Amino acid sequence: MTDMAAALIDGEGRLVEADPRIAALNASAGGGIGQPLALPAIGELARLSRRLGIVIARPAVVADGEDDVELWIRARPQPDGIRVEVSGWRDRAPEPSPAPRDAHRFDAAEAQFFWKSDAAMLVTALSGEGFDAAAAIGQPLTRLFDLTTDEALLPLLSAAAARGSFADQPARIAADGRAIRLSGRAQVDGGGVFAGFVGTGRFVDAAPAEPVVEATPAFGEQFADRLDRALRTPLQRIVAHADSIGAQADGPVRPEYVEYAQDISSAARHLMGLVDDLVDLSAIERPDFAIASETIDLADVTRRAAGLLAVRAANAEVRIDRPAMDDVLPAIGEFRRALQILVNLIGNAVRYSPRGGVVWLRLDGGEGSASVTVADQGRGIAHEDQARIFDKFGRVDASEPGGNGLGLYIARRLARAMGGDVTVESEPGQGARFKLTLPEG
Amino acid sequence: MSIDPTDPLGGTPADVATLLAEADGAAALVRRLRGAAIRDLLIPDAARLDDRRRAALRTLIRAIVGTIGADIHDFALRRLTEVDEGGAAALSRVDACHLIASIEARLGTDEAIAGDLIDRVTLDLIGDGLPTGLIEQAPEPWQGRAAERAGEALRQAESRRRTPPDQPPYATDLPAESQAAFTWWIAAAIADVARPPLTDTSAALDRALADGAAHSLAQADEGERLEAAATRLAAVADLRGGALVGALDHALAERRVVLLAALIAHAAGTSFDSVRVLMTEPADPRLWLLLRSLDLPRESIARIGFALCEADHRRDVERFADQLDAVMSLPVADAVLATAALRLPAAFRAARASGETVR
Repeated sequence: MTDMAAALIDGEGRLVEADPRIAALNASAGGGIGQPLALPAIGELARLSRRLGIVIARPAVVADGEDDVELWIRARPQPDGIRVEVSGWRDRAPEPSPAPRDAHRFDAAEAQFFWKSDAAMLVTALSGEGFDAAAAIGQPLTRLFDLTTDEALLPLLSAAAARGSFADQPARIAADGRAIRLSGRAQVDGGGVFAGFVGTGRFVDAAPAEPVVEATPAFGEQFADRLDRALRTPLQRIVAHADSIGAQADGPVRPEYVEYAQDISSAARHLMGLVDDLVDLSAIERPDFAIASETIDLADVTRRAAGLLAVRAANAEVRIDRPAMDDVLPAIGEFRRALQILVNLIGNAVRYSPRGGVVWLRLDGGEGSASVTVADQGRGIAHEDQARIFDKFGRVDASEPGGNGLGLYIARRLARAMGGDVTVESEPGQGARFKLTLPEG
Repeated sequence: MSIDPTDPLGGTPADVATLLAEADGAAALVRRLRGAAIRDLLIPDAARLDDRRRAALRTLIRAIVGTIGADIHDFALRRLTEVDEGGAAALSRVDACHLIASIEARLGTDEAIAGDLIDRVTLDLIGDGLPTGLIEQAPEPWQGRAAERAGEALRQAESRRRTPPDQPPYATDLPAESQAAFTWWIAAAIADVARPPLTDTSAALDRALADGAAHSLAQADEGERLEAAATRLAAVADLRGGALVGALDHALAERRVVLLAALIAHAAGTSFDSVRVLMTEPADPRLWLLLRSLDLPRESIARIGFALCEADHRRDVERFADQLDAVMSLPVADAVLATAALRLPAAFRAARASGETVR
């Protein structure tokens, strides 16, 4: 390690000798050679290493003037005292450029699968639906994930080199070509050397927004593009920090603060949802908005949408009655957009279901069309409101939490762009049935 | 999407009957809450589950009720749809969330099963918190086809349990006794919730649920659990002396806490569960005695102790350092003697302990 500096501390905790970097840090804290070490984080580790008689390593933050420096400290007992090796020497950014731990935590909440590799990039763990984990374990990471198509290997390698993290890198499942996004955090061993990745991933079908293609720069498009960039990163950061406070990642926090953190996180997620919707909105309102026309299996799309909402439903104590695994319903449309519509419809149904309620998903085909009906046991919608809910910002009760009144508008616009529609049937007090219809495949 | 602000379930405002019924039960409710508050006051802080363990335990209980419950429910529903529509309709109204409270209440009466769950989530959380970088390099020390196969099986079991312990989905991985108890509890809880009005329906429903439970039990294989896979590897590798030290270092270096417990248990000739209790209970010094009885080098015990202190904030590293000197000054033979009880069969130890309370 080029950035490693060493020092020797005697049995009384006094500094015997030190490389210039440690000597300077110690001097800036008011210490000197022959005096007790003035850096408590290092001194504590040296003392512990001497008491236990073993090599000990820990990360630590040490003050350097007005700044903080992040160090990796390793203490090794020797006959003449404790030899301390200090590496890292990274300035702790006052504005944390997604702190590895936090980025990881944030991703974990959205993850559909978890993976882990060793330093040689061999897969050591893989969990999640739709994988043959037994076959993947022990294999090179690159055999599991195709990292070449979207130049995702580079962020991975630079994260390994910098012992940092990478987030949301596009890649594919090598076996079947499914598009995914990977995030990971480098693990570091005692010498501060890369020891592998712990990571998460999600299937990209769930990605709500794609960057708008540069064509005729209109106000709306630029606005959405900027909105996305200007708001998403800070919001992700807010969510990540709030989540790590809520999870008490750095030690116990009083219960009411945990609740505040959860409120902050959920408010920020709500805003992120709004950003997604506004970006979509500006895309579908452009004159040249086009949608792919491919044969899709609407039953499969429905199962996936239900799967994406399984955790939210479980938390709300709502059961989603999803189609059987062998159901097939061919339709014409764009996979990603159909999934987006169904996630919206099922998400609404879960949100408005009472505790212990069931959301039914029914598939129907024939007569040139294929449809999915999403039925909930919520309060239902009055006739006079049924047209309004498909309007832009057309919420019935603006005081209710969750939702921004764009979801159904976008869902219907997307369905109509695919030659289908989203319709609703409901009676107050008897739940609502939303139906997505697409041309038969 | 919603307009009508009244109760979604269509209930009328609280009427006189409800009010009187609530008043009737109020005295008992107040007594129960007071009793619980006093019991809560008397619990020492060390015995209290912290929030992470609480969340992990809740997640595990939900996962258990969700998976076993779905097995039984699906089976019984398929069976009843053919023979008894009334029973099927009653059954289809039952949902996993109706069962949780009943299962939690039953857990409260079965210390062994509840203890197993608590120890298991605690050890998983400790594994989650083990430090990196304590050991420079420690390759897998076992050799031979049988050990390699057992090693692969363990990797797969670890992979299945990779989700953070306090977030779903989290593999249920239950020992056979707990699996059986939970299965019957859940079947009984479903029957209670479904509670059909007619007697003959009730008999058919009970039969279908019992068959569903037996079917679900027949599919469970406790040998696939992470704990079982680790125990098998430890037995196949059968390591002592220097090889054991290398294997313990490997488990620490790779933060494989279940393997660590299994290696110690096998070498000490005690059960995995006994070692897990020692590793998850900070106030219990028998872990250090057990490690001493294996005649491990001081550094090896120090590394295990330090790693556990880093992973479990209930432990105090200074106290461990004090104990370490005392443990190392104890002759190995004395340590073997002091931990002899741990090597006795668990049932015998339990019987001895309950005998003491009887006298």
